[in-house]
Amino acid sequence: MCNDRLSGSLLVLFGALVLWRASTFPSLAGLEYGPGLFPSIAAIGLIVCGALIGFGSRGRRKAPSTSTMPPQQTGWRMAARPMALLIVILGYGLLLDLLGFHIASFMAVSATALIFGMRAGGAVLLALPLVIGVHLLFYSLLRVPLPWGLLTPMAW
Amino acid sequence: MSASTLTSLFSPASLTVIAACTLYGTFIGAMPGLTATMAVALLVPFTYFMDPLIAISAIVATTTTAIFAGDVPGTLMRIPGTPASAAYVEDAYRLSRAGRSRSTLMVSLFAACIGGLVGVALLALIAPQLARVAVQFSSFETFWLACLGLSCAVLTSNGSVAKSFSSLFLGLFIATIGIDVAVGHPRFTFGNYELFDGISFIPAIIGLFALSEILRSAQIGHRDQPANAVQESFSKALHEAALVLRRFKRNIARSSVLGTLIGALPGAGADIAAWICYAISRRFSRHPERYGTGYIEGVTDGGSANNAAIGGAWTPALVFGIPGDSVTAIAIGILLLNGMSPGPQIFTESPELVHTLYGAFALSNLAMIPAGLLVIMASSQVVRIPRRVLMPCVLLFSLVGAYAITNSVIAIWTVLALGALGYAMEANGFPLAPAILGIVLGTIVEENFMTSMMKAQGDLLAFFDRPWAAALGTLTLLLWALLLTRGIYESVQRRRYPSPSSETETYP
Amino acid sequence: MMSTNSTTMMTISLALWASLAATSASADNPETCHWQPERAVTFIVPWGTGGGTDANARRLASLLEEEMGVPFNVVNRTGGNGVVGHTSLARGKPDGYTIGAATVEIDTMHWLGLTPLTYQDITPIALINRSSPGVVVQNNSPYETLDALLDEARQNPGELTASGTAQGGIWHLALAGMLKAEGLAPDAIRWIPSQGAGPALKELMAGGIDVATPSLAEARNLIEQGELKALGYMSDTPMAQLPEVPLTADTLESGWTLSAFVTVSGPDGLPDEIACTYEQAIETAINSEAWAEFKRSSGTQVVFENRHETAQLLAEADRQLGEVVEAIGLAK
Repeated sequence: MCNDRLSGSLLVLFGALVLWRASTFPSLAGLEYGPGLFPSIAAIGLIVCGALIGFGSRGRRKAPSTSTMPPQQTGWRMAARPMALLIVILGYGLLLDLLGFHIASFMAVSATALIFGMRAGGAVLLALPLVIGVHLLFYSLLRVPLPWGLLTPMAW
Repeated sequence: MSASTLTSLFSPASLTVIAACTLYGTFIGAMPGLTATMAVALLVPFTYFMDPLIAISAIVATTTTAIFAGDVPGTLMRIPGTPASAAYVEDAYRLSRAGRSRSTLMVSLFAACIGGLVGVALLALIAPQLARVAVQFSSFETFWLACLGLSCAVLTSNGSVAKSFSSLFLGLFIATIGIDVAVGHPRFTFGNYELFDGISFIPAIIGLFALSEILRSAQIGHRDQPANAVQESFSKALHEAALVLRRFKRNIARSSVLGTLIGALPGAGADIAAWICYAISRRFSRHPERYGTGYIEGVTDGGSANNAAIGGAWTPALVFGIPGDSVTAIAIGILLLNGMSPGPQIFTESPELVHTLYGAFALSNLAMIPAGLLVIMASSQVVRIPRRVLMPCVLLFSLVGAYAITNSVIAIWTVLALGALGYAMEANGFPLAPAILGIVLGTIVEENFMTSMMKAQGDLLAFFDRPWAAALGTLTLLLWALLLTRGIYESVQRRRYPSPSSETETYP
Repeated sequence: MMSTNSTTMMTISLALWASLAATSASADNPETCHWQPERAVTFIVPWGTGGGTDANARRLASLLEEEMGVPFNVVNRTGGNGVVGHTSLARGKPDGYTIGAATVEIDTMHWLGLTPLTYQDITPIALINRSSPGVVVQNNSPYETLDALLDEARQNPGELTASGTAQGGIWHLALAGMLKAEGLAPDAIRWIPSQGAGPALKELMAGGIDVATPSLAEARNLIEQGELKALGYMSDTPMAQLPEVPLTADTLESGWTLSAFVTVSGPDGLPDEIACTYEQAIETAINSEAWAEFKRSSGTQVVFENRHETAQLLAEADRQLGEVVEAIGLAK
């Protein structure tokens, strides 16, 4: 799980990209620096740290885990679940305005429950009251204008 | 404390919120993996719609109880509920294995309560004095203070120096997204006007802390650890706890004061305070060899220190507007959303806010006792709520909560991106706290640097012109020198002893 | 709304009082103004909670809620010096369920090159608030009058610093425009950007800057506490709570005045029927005792202009603010 060589290289690459973008920013009248200064500092920091992490210690050292969780299981099924969750959230963001809060949330909660190993019936039983509860809490009580999407004709 | 503060604090709305947040904090803290920061992050969308005074009470009550309740899964399952409980988890777990889980938890409950009360008392004493000095602080001094906070964030984090710095620089980069303060140039927005104001802070927090936790939980799967069986009766446990507290009252006093002071350092929070006080307790104990084998003394120290630090952490937040830890960073965000800018003037302009804060601290530390006793009696059931029910709920609340802040889908993208980032960072041993402080302090550092330079027309020596600026600047530079030496020392050590065990996980 | 010429200012002000006096200034055929919302309306505010625009919008929204019988949800879409909120207002669906508070910045931000959005991309409904900036200094400042301050800036251009809002923000334009109208270089007092009036006033008290030009209402507390003093008020009518502050319309040769305004506007292409319904509802709300009480407590005057007047004002202010932005070299 802990791949210092890869994460170090990614940091260096990302830092270089930021540095390149920041060099195109204008500078302040009368000064040699401007909006690009802080992004550049951050970028140089990332490059240096990335190099240290990726190539300084030959990747032999395992960093201490700051996680409060027990050691992680391996296996592709385990790695697949976080990916599936990310896809669920991606879909939620893409479809929220179109489908509306209720349909999109119902689908997202059911899918998440399935990913966490719940049966289909249980997932629906969890999602339905949850969506209604969140609607009451956020839309009715807190007055957040949640999008209605397809259900706009039913909106109140 | 004025009468109006008391009436507003004891108004039905405020009492209901404090009671609800006490229960909420206890619940989230008691769930393994759900941290105090996450509890506050998920609470923010609600506080956004509250009166600021009640919002502050809500945050205080939630953190106070969540930090204590983090001991529950730590004691029963050896999974600290929040990082602040990690210092003494081994002792607490072994005591629980020996059938003393209830008395151990009661010890940590009362130690936490005392620590919390000491913390807020010291806060009330120190903060107004500091504020008198801080009124004279202009952008030069604020710049140095924020730099100091950034350095502390790296100094006190649990990861290696290079990884802590990377995390910090990632946070700093995220802070630069949006229109810049000096000339109004849009940076890294790629033409998306919704990014002009930068990455919205609350969705970022929710992503980094809540979503990354859900992702990690998804990876682990639904393997639930069995909790230790509860054996003691309520009255016997209470009696036992009272004996322990009397025996170690000096430890509690020492760690409460020390925990507050550590918490007051910008960038250091409850977990650091617990680690340091546990280490000090061990050094001064008559039985240092029993630490880590199920010895209660360290629990009293760590348990009081982490709750004391919560009070301490508000000192820099209130006085300078510079967060003491990630929770106060969120709190500052809420104050700003409500049009109040934290800083020395808050003591003269909104004294009711400051007094409500003190009152809320005192009140929630007391309210924590019944709530804590309740959760101790029900603890073995609470920690067994299956993740497949809990996590979908947390996910929906994360997404809708973030959406409520920006009212646009950009919040969902922020949660998604930073959640994935936080997950990848933690999986590779990068600490998250420096990134959060980088996001918050980065804006402050840059803004104050740029405006200072515009005032001084580019003369860098102006940063040492004013007396306080000179003092703070020197202190910051010294700290940087220290960090640099430690970094070099660390890499030399690493080259000499390339062992897998890490010497950088400080405060053993 | 601003004017380098006091006569224009007077004309518009007269029109304003006239419209206040009239009970119904709406020129449209009132029979068609019968649109009725059936669900919650979103009210967009481009500025943060706690600020003046937000306070006005929230109070108005609660009055509209009583009047029209549906919830009005105030949504703060902050950021980008107002770009985010104004853009989401302009791009909202023109079905009457999205309206919002468009502020004076709709007439400045396109000149500053922040957005292509102009006042022509929104449908003005009414004007509900105006506020003017004050020129404030520390109480122990050596400058006793605005003239003394301007003399110092004339003799040592670039020595003094001022703040109050972001670079190119309305209070920046107020100061730079005043300097220019008085024949000084627009940057004779250098502008230091800040996150708003609060941080700017803190900086002023800490001695980090010499002058601040926030709206006088925002500096009122500190002036009353004796921490700051006001050298001038960029208006031609004194503020009720601080009547002794000299008016720039009287003391300055150019008679320079400036006021920032808050309008209620809808998205581009809002149908006439909906717009005039809102216009009438807002007028009723503004004339209510509750609104007058709110205005008294916040120390500002009750103002109202109908949608035709507001549209004219937006166009006029756009032209004048464009000139100021151009003159101080911030145009892009």
